[in-house]
Amino acid sequence: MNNNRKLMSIFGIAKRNISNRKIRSGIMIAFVFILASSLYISSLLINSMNLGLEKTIGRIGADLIVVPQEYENNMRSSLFLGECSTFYTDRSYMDKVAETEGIQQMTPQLYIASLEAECCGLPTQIIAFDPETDFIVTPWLQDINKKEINYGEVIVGNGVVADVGSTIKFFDIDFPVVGKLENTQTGYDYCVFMRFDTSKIILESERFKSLVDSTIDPDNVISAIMIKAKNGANLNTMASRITYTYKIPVKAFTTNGMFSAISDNLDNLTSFSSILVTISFILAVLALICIFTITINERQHEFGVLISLGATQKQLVLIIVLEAVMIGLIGGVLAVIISAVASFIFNNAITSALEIPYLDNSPSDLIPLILKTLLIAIGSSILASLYSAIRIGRAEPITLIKGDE
Amino acid sequence: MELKVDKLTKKYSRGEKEFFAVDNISFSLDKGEFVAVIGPSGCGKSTLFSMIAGLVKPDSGTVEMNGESLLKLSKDEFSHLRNTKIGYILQGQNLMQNFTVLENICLPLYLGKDRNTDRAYELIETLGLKELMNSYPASLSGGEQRRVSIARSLAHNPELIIADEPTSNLDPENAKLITEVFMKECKDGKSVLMSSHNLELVANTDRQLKILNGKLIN
Amino acid sequence: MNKTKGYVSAIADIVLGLLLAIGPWTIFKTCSTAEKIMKCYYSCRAVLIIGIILMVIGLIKLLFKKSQNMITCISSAVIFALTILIPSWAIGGCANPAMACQKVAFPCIYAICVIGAVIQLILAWKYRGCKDE
Repeated sequence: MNNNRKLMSIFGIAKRNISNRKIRSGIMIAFVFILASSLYISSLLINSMNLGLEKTIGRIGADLIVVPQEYENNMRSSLFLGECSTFYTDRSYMDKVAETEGIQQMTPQLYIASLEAECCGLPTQIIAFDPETDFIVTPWLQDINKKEINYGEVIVGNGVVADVGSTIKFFDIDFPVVGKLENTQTGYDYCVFMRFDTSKIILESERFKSLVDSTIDPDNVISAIMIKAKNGANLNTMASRITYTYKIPVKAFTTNGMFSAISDNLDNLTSFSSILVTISFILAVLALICIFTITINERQHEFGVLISLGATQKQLVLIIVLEAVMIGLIGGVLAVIISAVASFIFNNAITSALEIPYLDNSPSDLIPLILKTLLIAIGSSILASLYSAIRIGRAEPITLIKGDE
Repeated sequence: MELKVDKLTKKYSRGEKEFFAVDNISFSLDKGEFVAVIGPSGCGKSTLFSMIAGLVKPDSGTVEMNGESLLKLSKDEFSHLRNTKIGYILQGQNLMQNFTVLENICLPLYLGKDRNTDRAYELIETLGLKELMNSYPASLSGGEQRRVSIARSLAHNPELIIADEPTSNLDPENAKLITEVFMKECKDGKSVLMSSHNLELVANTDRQLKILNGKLIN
Repeated sequence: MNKTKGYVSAIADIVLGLLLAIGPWTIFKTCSTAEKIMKCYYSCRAVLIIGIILMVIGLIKLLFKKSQNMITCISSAVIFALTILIPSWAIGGCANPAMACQKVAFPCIYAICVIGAVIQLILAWKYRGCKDE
């Protein structure tokens, strides 16, 4: 006979208890899974939204944005999500705005939604800028080693389907693509940038006139004024002055103010999500406590037998806690794997449905999230087992041997 | 191994009434002795055994093993004693359903520091369990399960064996095999304290202690 | 025990194969072909064929449950895994991530393939060391 078989350890005893009680273990793992996956997904969504918002605000480069009154939402959606719209107002309003104290630089932009891009029939946001006064797009050109763009040329955002050297068609007109920006993970990734004089080609085209607006004056339209303030200027005062003093139909926002609605929504989402995760945690722990209590009650005789064979009460507690650790670990790992794979596969559907620019799947941000999820999964499982473990640890051996109701 | 029990007492309450489960029992057990404890059901045999094995704390009295008082031991120290010097065979069916026959028998070794399995394999041969080593308890007969139970309590080579009704509900063949195992243990210098209703089995013991209503009669 | 594994393997192939075959045209629709036929249409047609192949394999497995083994499960797993390459690389779909194929149809195809491959690999693992009955 083989007398050299490896002897089981306390860990092995706990592992055998888990693996031989598949249904009970499966139910407990399921509760941990629900808790861990809801934590993972809600944290991922909130972190992604926060990061998207930070990047968008950081990327804009302007301290104040002035837009036509009724197009505030269009501007916000375009910058944050890359959603397209065409809106404009009178260029002459720039003269009034320029009277505001505290302005260091200001530059106009024009937003036009294409009817269709070459691929797949979805509109692209065209943003026209003034090369002489621009301080927003020009720095991005320098990032890609481009000093300027010429009349008739376009630069595309990273997410636009066009390569450098190819052409992109808008309103039946081909525009050569001379540059592609880096990935910014903001709405600008889906925009196409051209000079104001290039945009006139579109505004004067038959297609634009027949399908969008035939009355537009190409020399006299802008969609937004981007303002850089002097150091120390009070941005809120400047914004109020522009909005209320000049009696022109525009609204001025600080960059943070432009996204305050999104920020507020994000705060609400964070609170809601925290409440949801807390409730989920409490319910899962309560469910696990119930299951641990019931099953360990049923196993009192088993523990009593172990004591009669020489197990210390510390060993019994260790068996229970190890079982809890394994359940927490299995549930947590399954939750992380399935949530991560699902969020990766359904990235586009999720970002589109929840109106967020992107899901943050970068390893540097995911690793802390994964660790946090696993810790909470294992921690909640251990917490749920503690009551039963302590009861068993303190019970009289004979009580355990006799079992209890 | 010498066991000395002196004026051991245990009281329980049943509703408002108190009663003595074990009332002032004293006896001793010498090395290599095979002693049977007999008496009707509920007379206090199991309680007496539990107190000697440290599973129940007595209300008064002493238990000494080789001159050392056992009642001063902590819970962990008593556990260690049950894992080394005492082999306790519980009444009824007590196998761990998640473990094979071999794993059940080696359980005391998993729990303790002494990991020598030679004795375990010897007992498997002696008790005719070789073919069943990798089976689970659910597939065993009552007699086979009891033999496994006994092998388990002897695998760590204890000096004192306490067996609570080891042959109850067993066929004569199995009962005889188990008796022979205990007798061999005694020949090897171990002491056996056993309770039983089986008069044939009791006849093989060196001495009998009669208990009635918690009191030692003889 | 082998019989149960045989059932599960066969039903996984049939059900998931059915989803692959008809899903992109019904439940998780790909881009509309009203204006023009795009690459994603051809990807989904290729996946339709694979779906039918898997259903046929599943039916054969159902008829010959006892002859199933590790190899039949691994074969199904490989088919599921390689199906992922059709929309992601071999044929592809619309470049724009906001299109229906990238947002809905392809992710569902990937998810079904991952689930199918995992189920078959787990069954293959369980079959290891089992003798054919």
